[in-house]
Amino acid sequence: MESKPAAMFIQKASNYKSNVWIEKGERKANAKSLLGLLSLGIGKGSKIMLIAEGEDEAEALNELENYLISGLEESV
Amino acid sequence: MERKSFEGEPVSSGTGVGKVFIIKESEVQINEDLIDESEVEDQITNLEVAICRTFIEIYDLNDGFKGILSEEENRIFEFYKEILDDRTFFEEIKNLIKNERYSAEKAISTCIKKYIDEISASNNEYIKQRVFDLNDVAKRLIKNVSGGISDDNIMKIREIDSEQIVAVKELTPIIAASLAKKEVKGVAAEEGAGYFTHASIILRSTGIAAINGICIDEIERFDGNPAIIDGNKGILVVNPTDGEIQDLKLGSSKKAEDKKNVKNGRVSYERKPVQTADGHRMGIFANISSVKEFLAAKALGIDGIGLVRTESLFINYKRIPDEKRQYLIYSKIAKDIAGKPVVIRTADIGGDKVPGALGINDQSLSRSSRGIKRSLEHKKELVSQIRAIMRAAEFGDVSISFPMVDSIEQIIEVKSIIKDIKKS
Repeated sequence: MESKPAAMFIQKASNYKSNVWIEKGERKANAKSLLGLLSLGIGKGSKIMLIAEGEDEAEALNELENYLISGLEESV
Repeated sequence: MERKSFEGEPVSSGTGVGKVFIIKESEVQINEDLIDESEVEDQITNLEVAICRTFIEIYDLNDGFKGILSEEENRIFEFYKEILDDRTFFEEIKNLIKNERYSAEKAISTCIKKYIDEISASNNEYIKQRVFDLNDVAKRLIKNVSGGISDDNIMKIREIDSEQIVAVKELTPIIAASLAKKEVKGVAAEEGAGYFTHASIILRSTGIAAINGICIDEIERFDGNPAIIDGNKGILVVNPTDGEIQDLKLGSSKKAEDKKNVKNGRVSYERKPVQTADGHRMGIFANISSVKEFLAAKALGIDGIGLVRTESLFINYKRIPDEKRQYLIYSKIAKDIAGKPVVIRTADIGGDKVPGALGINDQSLSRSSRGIKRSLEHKKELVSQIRAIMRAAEFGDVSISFPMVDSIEQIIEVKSIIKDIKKS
């Protein structure tokens, strides 16, 4: 994930009150942090896990997952 | 003095003759001592002030480069702002101050180093190059923590003029943009100017010769000496022989003359037509985001302009300029390129903060529409832009294109606008 799509993703994740993380392998980063996401080194085909916790967690997971599947594909 | 040749990675083509000007890294002093509990709050305040100062610095720089850099290059500043806006990152720094009793400077450098190490390990070349931007952010923050002492580099950059070849220890995008603005003869960097760095992108798009990977310590003693730089071969030669200067000048004097002619707008640049080894003629077209890029592209003898990103041309204006201004720009491009085809795309604006160059086409992403859809919602603006383009077409081979069309109705609608303009 390059800095532009990553920044877009963060904007989206920051809309939710819940804490959101992305986990790749053994590392986990705050999904609202650009540096965190860049440091995970997510590339095309990387397996990642999206975790949300808080009052709007279900909505956050749903929307962000959709974005990762559709939005990022279009940007590649 | 002795002649010496330095070799580096060629990252931006072109050649230049000038005097060596050295920019060495301004050393950042970090207070390694642990702080007292009573100082924690002060250090956190210092950190917050430093973030604000750095923000203002970036905004000011960003303003200063408007019109020089294209929209895509301006993304560089967005990246800086996004880092400064990263709350998790600053929480981590604050925690180091609170829990480890680090000074604000030490906390910043420790924290950013962790990210730099992780990002350096990435196998994505583009992301790897962001390390230089991060280093620059860290330096700016640390400088601003320690009371915003004057930056030696900024002072030095003020002294630079267009007759110099600048040798720099670590090239940052911001120094690169400053050098582009000064129109220096060339840039040789020890690091920070790799092919995928923001810095080298800026130098390429502004047509400044550059090489990366030279050793600044070896060049330092040649400060002020005459030199030649060849960005195609990746060489910098200090105290070159007269013959070398002549050879380079023979190549570049023709270019300089043509540049002059280009400015008069009368003579176009003549180069051998581009063709494959077996003689098949190919057209090379440039997509441009600024008048500066247009001039650089034209000097290369391209076959036409594949795309004029009008929204980027207008970055200087708060809103889309009126028909007359647009007409002046478009007709200048059409005239200057002397009959070669030019495709002008109507403004692709919209999507809140999403820059057009982002390439993300997700309608749900932004609530506002963009591309031709947005233009059709702002019809007055669109009509005056189309009229300006059609008027400019008198001066050359001008075509019009529309961004992000997603239905036949949109085409029918713009065609009817064109028809109406023709009638009037």
